Amino acid sequence: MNNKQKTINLKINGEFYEFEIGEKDWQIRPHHTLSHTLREILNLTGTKISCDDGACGACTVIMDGKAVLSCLILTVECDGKEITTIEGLKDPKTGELDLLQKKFIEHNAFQCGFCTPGMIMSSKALLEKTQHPTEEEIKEALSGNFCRCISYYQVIKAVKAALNERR
Amino acid sequence: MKPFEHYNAKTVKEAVNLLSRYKGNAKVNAGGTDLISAMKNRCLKEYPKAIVNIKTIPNLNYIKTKGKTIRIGALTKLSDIAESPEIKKYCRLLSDAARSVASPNVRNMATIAGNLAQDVRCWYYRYPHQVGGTIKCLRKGGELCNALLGENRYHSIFGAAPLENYPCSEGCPAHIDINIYINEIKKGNIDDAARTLLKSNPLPAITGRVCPVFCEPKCNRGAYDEPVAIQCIERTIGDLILERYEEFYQQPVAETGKNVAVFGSGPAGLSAAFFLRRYGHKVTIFEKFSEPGGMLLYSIPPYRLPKDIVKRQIKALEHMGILFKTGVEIEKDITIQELKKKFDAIFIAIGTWESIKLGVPGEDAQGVYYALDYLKRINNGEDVGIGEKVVVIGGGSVAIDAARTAIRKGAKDVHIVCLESWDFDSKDRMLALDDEIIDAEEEGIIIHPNLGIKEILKAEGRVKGIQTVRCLSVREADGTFNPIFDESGPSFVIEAESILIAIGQRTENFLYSIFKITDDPSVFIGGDMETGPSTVIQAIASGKEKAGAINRFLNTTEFYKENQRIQYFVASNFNQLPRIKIQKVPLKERVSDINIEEILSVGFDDIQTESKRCFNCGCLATQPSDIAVALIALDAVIVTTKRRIKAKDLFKATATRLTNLEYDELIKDIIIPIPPIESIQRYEKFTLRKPIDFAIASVAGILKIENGICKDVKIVLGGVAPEPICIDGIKRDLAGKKIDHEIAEEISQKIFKSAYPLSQNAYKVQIAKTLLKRAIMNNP
Repeated sequence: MNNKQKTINLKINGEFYEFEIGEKDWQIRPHHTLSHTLREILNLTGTKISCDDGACGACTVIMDGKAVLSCLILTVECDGKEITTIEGLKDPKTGELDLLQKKFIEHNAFQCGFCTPGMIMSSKALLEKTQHPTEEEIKEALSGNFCRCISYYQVIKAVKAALNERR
Repeated sequence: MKPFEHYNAKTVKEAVNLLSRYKGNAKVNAGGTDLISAMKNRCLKEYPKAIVNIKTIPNLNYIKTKGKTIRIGALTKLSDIAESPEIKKYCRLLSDAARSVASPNVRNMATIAGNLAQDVRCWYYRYPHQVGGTIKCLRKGGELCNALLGENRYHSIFGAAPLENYPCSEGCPAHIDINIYINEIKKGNIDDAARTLLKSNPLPAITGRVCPVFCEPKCNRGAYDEPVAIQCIERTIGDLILERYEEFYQQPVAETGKNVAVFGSGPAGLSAAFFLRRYGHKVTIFEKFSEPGGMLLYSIPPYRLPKDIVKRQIKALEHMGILFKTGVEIEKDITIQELKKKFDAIFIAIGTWESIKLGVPGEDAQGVYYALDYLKRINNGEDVGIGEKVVVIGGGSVAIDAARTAIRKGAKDVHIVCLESWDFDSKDRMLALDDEIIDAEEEGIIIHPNLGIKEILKAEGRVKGIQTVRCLSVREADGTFNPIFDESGPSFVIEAESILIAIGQRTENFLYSIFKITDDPSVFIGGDMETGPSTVIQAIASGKEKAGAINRFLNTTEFYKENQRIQYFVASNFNQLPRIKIQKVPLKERVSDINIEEILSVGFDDIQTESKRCFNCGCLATQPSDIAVALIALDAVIVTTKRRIKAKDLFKATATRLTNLEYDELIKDIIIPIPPIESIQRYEKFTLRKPIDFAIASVAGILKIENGICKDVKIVLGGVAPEPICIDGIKRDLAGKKIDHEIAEEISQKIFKSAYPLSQNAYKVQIAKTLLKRAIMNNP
């Protein structure tokens, strides 16, 4: 029985990647988390690692349309998945920022900014899924993203502003 | 994380094959935060060699309504369950429970089966290795749950998950279920305690007096202050059992028709007879002396073990239907060949009654006795004139018994001379117990350690004294007896009128032929006869073991069920209580009469207080799964790769596992019977930080109420114990009653009366009570 995969395929921010699985330096090791691969292999350092234990939300990325925590997912389990990180939100051709990103800037929805990519990815997943979320739903969707600078009020304003503009 | 092999399973079968191939060294990844977090923190007892990812298995992600049931696939995400319109409509409490788990992003990754099978979230268990090394808690091979004496604000208020093996019970040769009967005493169920004790120890009133207590040194409380006074508790319960022997020593429910002979009525014979009788066999005990009891009656002096206790014990066994035939000596009055014609099996436990000779000049002098013969004669009521100045030779319990008996019989000047060292910690220490030695010295007996005997001095054929020689070493490092004497060193004389030799005993010479017949499958040998001189409890253990072997040999179907370990969690408690002070009769009084029992009895109130000192060692971590609590309330059935099991039966916690899933067993499907549409459902959870914390307490409830009257109710509590607590009696208490504040209060009082909060978590009682009352009242 040889059911150990040798390669995995990922679509990250619209680009296709094929990784070898193994113990060599350039290969993905079974114990690598997705956040590790994004940051250390692909240099997509917009995804942050804070608690590294699933509690803070800083590492949030969107996988197959859902906001998930990349620090508690092994890269080797992601074969065939489509992943979007904060770097993938801007228009790939023009470089124009996503509406949510713009509204976060306009509303000063951060102070140190470390939690912001996670906040934006959770908000993005909500907006993709729900047309007209209520304030309660926004708060609920962001309840796993922690900010030590207490930017929450501005974050909610920014998300609501993005929603208004989308209408 | 340390490296591991990784598999993305494509089918359930493939996953199961992998898991069985790794024989427990592989872990399943079903999403969520449990496993990867534990791996990162390196807190697991053993790091898995492989991870089997089962999220890649298709067709296990579904929510289907089919007739009167809802079926949920094992790999359905918690977010899907929380949002499912069907579940919201029919099983509201499950969608609420799913929504209460962690944060929305975790719920997007976590599956229902992963949630059910998750490990404890105890902070001792999960203490990150990077932060100063793994804490070796009870789940990881430690001896004591850290939460018992440490920070325990999030731990169980209803006791601990039981250990597979308790240190006290493991320490005891007969493996008495000490923790279980002490737990019953704690609760005030003295009769249940008595029945439990009697299941594993047929002679508790006797071991409650003369056991060298192998259990107490193993007691975990010893590391904190002093061990629980187990023997003291055992004695009181043992006396109760003898007092009401007709109730406790009953005839077996059914007879097997088999007939077993037991030779020897010492502790091994009595123990074997007891268990054989319980199995339903006819048992006849043969005893060579005029009264049954063996060493219990003829060797152990009455100030330690009153004759009356032994006699009542025999009476109790007779009440079970065991026959006693005294004055019958094996091979002399009846041969084994003759016995074999009448009995289906024979158990021989005739002990060691021949004293070992000293082998020095002068041993034939008048006034030289062997301690065992001396004790036997005294215990038989004879008067043995040994004068006022007595020397006892030997350092074991028999030597001490003989010396203390001599004092009580009027000797004024008693000396014990032994090869061994007086130092309790030495490899050459005396074999007698610490307490025996201390008591003997208190009574004025002079111990001369490190001395051998060169010669027994005599004058005109009578003993005059002993010529000693210094003993340099008794045992080799591995314990082998090999005394070394300082032949050229100083040697002095101790004068004596009599000498009692107690340097060991063995089975009588002419009976050695018995050992030759052990290849006869119907003849069994046990007790001291097999092992050499030991202790009462070891003899009891031997009798119990041989009774089991004989029963297997007889191959009867009528089987007395061995004591089953309770699978429910046990009440763990930590109270700052001093160990009970064992009271002794004042010295002057007790040495005046051999029949005055030295140690006084203790009452029920005192043993109940003492029993509260028992930690009831176990794991105090709580079951963390919200879904488990909800599924139990919903009467769900869980389908695994091996069986269909009711949710409430899956979560049976022990100190090492939260569920009884096997290592190669996977949850596949969950079947929920849809509750009546008019029923009120509720899942409520109290946490400190909502998105990340596990329940401090939670409640799942289903109520059917008509016109304010409760028709049906089911309530399960979470976060308060190692398992979700299904409140069994609540329907009885509530059905047909009007729901109001009073009844809610009454019921919550009743339920939490049996709570045992730890030093820092009594607040959980209040929270859980409030949640329960709110569930009953259906208050928002």
